[in-house]
Amino acid sequence: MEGRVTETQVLIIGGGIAGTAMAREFSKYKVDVCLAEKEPAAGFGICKGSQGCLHGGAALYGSRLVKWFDRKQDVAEYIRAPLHLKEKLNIAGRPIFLELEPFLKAKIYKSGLLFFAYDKAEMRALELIKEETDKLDFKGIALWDRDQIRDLEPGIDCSERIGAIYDPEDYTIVPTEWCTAFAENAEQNGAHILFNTEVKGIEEKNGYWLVKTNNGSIKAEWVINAAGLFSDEIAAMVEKIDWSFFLFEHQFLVLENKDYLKTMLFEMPIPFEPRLMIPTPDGNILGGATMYQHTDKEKKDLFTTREGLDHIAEIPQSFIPSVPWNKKIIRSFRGYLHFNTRNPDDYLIYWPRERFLNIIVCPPGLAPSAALAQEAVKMLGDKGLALVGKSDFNPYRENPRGFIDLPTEEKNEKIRANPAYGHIVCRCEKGTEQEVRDAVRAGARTLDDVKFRVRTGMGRCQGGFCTSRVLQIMSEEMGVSPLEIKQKGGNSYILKGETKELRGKGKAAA
Amino acid sequence: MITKEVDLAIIGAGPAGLAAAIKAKDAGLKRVLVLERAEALGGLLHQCIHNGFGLHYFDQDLTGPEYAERFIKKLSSMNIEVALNTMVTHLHPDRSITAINSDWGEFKVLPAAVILAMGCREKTRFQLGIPGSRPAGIFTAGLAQKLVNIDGYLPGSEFVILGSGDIGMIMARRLHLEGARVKAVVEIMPYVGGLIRNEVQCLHDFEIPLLLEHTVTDIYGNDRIEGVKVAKVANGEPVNGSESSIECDCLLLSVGLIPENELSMEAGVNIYEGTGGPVVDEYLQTSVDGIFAAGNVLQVYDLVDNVTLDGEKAALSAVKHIDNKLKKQPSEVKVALGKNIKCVVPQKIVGFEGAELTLRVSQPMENAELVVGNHYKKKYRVVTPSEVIKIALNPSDLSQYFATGKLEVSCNVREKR
Repeated sequence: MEGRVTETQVLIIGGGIAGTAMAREFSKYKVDVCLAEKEPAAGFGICKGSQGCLHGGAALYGSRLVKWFDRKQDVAEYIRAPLHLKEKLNIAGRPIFLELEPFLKAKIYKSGLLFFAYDKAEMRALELIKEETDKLDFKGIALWDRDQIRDLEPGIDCSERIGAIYDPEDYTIVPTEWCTAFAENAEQNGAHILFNTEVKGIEEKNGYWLVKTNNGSIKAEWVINAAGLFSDEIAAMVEKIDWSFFLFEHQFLVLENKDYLKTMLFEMPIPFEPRLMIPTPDGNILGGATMYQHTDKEKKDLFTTREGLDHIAEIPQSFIPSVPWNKKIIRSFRGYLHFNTRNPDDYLIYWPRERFLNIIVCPPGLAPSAALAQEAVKMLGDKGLALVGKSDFNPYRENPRGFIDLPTEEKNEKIRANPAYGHIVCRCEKGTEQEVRDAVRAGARTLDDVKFRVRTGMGRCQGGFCTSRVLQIMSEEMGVSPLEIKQKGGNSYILKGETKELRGKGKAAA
Repeated sequence: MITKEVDLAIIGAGPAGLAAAIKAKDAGLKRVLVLERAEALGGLLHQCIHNGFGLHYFDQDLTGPEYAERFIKKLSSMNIEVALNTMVTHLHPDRSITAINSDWGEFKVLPAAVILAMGCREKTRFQLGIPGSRPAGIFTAGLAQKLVNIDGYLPGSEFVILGSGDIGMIMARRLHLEGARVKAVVEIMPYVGGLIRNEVQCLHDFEIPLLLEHTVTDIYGNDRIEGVKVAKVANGEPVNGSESSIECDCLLLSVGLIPENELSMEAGVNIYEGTGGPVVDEYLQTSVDGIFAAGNVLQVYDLVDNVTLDGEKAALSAVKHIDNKLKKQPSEVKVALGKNIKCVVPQKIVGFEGAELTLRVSQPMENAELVVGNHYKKKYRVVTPSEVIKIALNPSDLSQYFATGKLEVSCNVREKR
């Protein structure tokens, strides 16, 4: 491994949504492109814990109200400020996702958004948002009263919520699914995707970059740093940086959604106490969140806390009191929002060296990524990278998952051709044996990777039924013992050994 | 799409489903179809390789697989249709079933009656709200039992077990016998969650530490679990400053079972808060006509023998339903929870044939007296929530309650005389 050298024209560091979207964009051209990701699967860094929203106008402007927390300043000052780059990219990028859905076969759920107000001052803020979004030609955004809110979402407690802005064009995705889709489609078109590949050092050589990883070296003419939460560390490998990250952690509950909620719900941001409910494309709701500030030293900490879980447990109830939410909890997790100190309100995109591009993002990261990818290609083109389109670029990617949602006739056609489709191995989410096999054949190597592709282990039993079955199928497909299979990266083996191995040793150890 | 018209469809082939199928066939039903999602009949009995099964039903001490085998043999000798590796995906309010397997594809079942026998699932750490990291090495006790006893793998070498349900205590002993170290069984209550016999035979006999009134408050380790924090509990809350760490490479959870009623609810079956299972009458008929429930899907039982008896009862009721012989009185009796009673099944009595109540007390009590309405009292030296209490009520006892529509059950400590 040590001695292996991969040569490429363009190296992208980071397999999150930005990196994978870029890899796909470059793969449209006759350019050698390579992507290095330290995790075992695409999107398994900061994307995995993100909220998964492709926001429309109301949420974009609504997010600006974080700064209006003391309610003293004139709110118009925030709402009428010119668009940041990240917002422009969001507006340009979101339609690209919608266009790509039938090509990449990754899900998008049209949730719409309700953003509530509690008093007249907050209603005025929403009116201003409506004015601004009207100017930008967003469609269908409207100010709603309580009756209209209840017509759409009858369960919502409107005793103190006096109105809302409604945006029909807000969407949710599963970020890891899109990262996987981008990465696989890029790979189909010749990109070289390296997982479990962590960049350890970067040397500037005569006319190229020598990037050292745990998985051999990569010789690249151009390097793009799209390493997300870790892009500061990559940036520091080529220059002494005068910026750093500050982080906000969010803890979320994953809740079962049995038609309890169709629409994404936002509350007027009170600083450090965001309240949101986000229906996902897979029939869950993310309910949260905490917003505790952290230093970037803690960015690897993904544990939930007692304080955090107690705080977020109250939130679903505050929106929809009639559902026993404490019985609908499937999982909880923690993710991060990260901002750079040099340009805290926006992305930080610059060339610290020739042919080395830093793309330092912040939230929102998902919707902008598709436009950012085009921008990155253009930036390299402007600096001299020859961009010649491929005539044989294949924009289609097959997604083997989703069998259970097919109409009966299609299901039965598939089962006739391949009986393993008829064998459901996941009782909660109804993933099939064949989908697990296909996931491994498409590159999944860990239990979590299969889980995020097929949803085995995502449901209310959290793998109680499927884990041993999925391990068995993975072991057959990978040709290894179940003892070799990990949950995620590092040392995360699921099993410790075979029975009888420890007999007689216990006493010696004790 | 294949459509199968049957007299009785049974969802699940664990002990409840097996007993129901055999009894229904014995009672003369022609077309009985058993739908089972796993690869074999018998449900979780196969992974329960310990003994203690059948003491009541067979008057013999059997292992789980031996107990299952008796029913599987019997069933296989009868003309009962069995579909294995078959997942029921929908149960509709009209009792029709949608299911999928490799042989029939996605198919429909149109039954005259349905018996729900889906059993239960284990609670997870997320439902308990245990904070911490999310590493590999955290399993429910039942999954660990399958990995060890069926698949032949050890999920760890140094264990902490949270919860003292029966599976947790049995796994503590099993892992100890495998040479693993069980560093603690941690139980939030002042008494174990499972049977006393398991506390003695699985923990005390092997000197496995039992920490009562303690709980796990944190989990650490990023890739693989490295340890847990354990704290003393008072009034249901962890006591500040009482936390200590225990290193382990595996955490098992035996913190409760949830009757698996997603299909039932889809069909419109009402669920009873006390058990998490369907609201039923003494025939074990749910709120949806022709849908019956038996075994752990109805209430989590202590002994498999009771599950078997449930299956048989539901089968006989289903047969009567199909023959239109399930007679109901003009009014019904609601069974009400009195003092110290956690739950009772059935929740209503509707017929002329008497009823059997199964109930659990809400806390352990010594010198207890169980009171049923105003006609029946029974003394117990000890009662605990982990053990099911059964009371038979004959038709003549019941007639007075039909007049008032209510029958209350309570349990009190006896006054010393």
